[in-house]
Amino acid sequence: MINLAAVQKVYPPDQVALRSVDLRIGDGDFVFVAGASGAGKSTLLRLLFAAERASSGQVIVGGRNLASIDSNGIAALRREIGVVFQDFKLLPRRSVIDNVAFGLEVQGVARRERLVMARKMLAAVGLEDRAAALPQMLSGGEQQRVAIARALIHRPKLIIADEPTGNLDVAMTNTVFELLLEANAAGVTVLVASHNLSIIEELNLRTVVLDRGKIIGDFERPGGRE
Amino acid sequence: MVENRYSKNDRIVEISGGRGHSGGSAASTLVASVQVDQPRVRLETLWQERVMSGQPASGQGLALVRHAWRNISQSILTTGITVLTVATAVLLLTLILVLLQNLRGSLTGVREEYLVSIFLKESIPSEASVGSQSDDVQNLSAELNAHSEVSKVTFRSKQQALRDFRSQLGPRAGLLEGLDQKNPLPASLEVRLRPEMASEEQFAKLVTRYRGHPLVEEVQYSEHSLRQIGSALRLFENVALGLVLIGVLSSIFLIATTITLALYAHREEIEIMRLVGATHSRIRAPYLIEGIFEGLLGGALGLLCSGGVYSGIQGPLAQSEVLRGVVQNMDFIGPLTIITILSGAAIVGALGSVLAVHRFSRF
Repeated sequence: MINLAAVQKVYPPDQVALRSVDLRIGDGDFVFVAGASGAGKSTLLRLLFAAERASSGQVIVGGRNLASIDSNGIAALRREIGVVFQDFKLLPRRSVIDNVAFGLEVQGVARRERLVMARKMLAAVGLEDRAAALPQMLSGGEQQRVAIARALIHRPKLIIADEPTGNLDVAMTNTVFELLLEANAAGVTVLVASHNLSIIEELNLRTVVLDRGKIIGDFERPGGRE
Repeated sequence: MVENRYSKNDRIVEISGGRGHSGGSAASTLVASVQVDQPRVRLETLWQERVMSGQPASGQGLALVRHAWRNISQSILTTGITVLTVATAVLLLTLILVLLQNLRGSLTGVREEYLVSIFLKESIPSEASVGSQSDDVQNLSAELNAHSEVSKVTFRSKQQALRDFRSQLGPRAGLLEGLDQKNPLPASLEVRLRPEMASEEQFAKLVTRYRGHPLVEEVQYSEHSLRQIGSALRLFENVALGLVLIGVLSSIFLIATTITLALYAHREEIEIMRLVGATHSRIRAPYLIEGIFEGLLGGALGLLCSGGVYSGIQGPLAQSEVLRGVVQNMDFIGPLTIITILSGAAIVGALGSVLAVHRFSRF
């Protein structure tokens, strides 16, 4: 699904965010990207959905070489990806159900069908009764579940989540990971940037550790259990 | 495989890992307290239903229109101001067109009255007494008729010229007593041009061509009046063109400004649209629709107002002594012009929108 080779990212004038990153993630994997703030986690993730371009090296996602991708290619790539952000990025003037249906709207799915799907998706994240509410009327955890519902509704091949639980309490954190794990169990590749070591240890899944832009560890089972 | 376990009241959920790393087994146990009232729908089931429904992607056009309408309804004030500006420009344009159209019509009527009079030499035989044309004059008449700009050539004999002069003098026709025997008025060929070609240049061309002709004594036409009419019309057309250009440019600018404001107000939404995979054209289309809508609505409103103004001023103008001749038959613009104005307004809206999107995408 993801293949990074000798990837370097330098922000002008000379701030190096990623140095010689090599990383392979297979289809259906669940991988954590861990590291302190400023380690390069977000930059790495942003390269994968073409929000940034690598300064050098090769970034291949879903068979697409992102160095030579055009704007239509980027749009097509993102339609196969679900992205979840720490700050949710919900549309403030649209209802919860419209936010969830938005992922299907840009794909040209008929309104009736996308609303039926969005309602079911809301039921899947436990927010069926908040369909008509505006995002700002929801708690942080609920907003993140809406964001995840939007990211999942079109059955993406890859979920990229950048600190998805950064603003959430423990209960909501667990709920969010429950959804991500369920998507992964259905075959979706999941990549999560997190500095929440307790959840990483708890789930005991493959974890790539970044430090000052370099991968300093790639652990199959960071919790040590099999 | 994930295994969730729900207890009816406390909603304790236990998940046994994901597929995790390829080849890996259940990873760990996560216990969460989830606020749900019913067992939730499984993602896998949901996605399968979507595949089973097999409905083709559709409704994109309607979604774009709905999106544009949402943008418009969120900025009613700026949209209203823009529509009013376009309407004012269209009102101005329409009234100018009505005036131009009727002025041209009136001037064409005036021009139709203008003739080129080709006075023949006294030495031309036969026509003086019997009023018929010699072969030479007939040949000249035929030659004149062959010109595409000429609609009619009439021979006026010396006697006819005298009769016409008498009727012009009316009660003072007695002044011409005794001239029947020695008529000083020359015979002439009166050349009428086709109204659509009756320009100052055509008259001048004809005069130049026949002034030195062996049969011709003199060629005359009302050069000065025609020149004045032509200059006045050209001046009016130039002023009208300038006003229309100002109207069109300010409409484009204002629509571009409104759309730019809408783009900035929705920049978060645009960013999210990009993230979920919307193409450039999908992102831009609602704003293009918005611009076209503003142009069309402004155009329609301007046309309605101009119709009202036209009805309102037609009566009083027709009463005016000075303008009666011009205004009596004043017509409103035709359906084709109305369609052209509406299409133009839509194009102006689209141009404003394209300009705004282009400007916005640079930031």
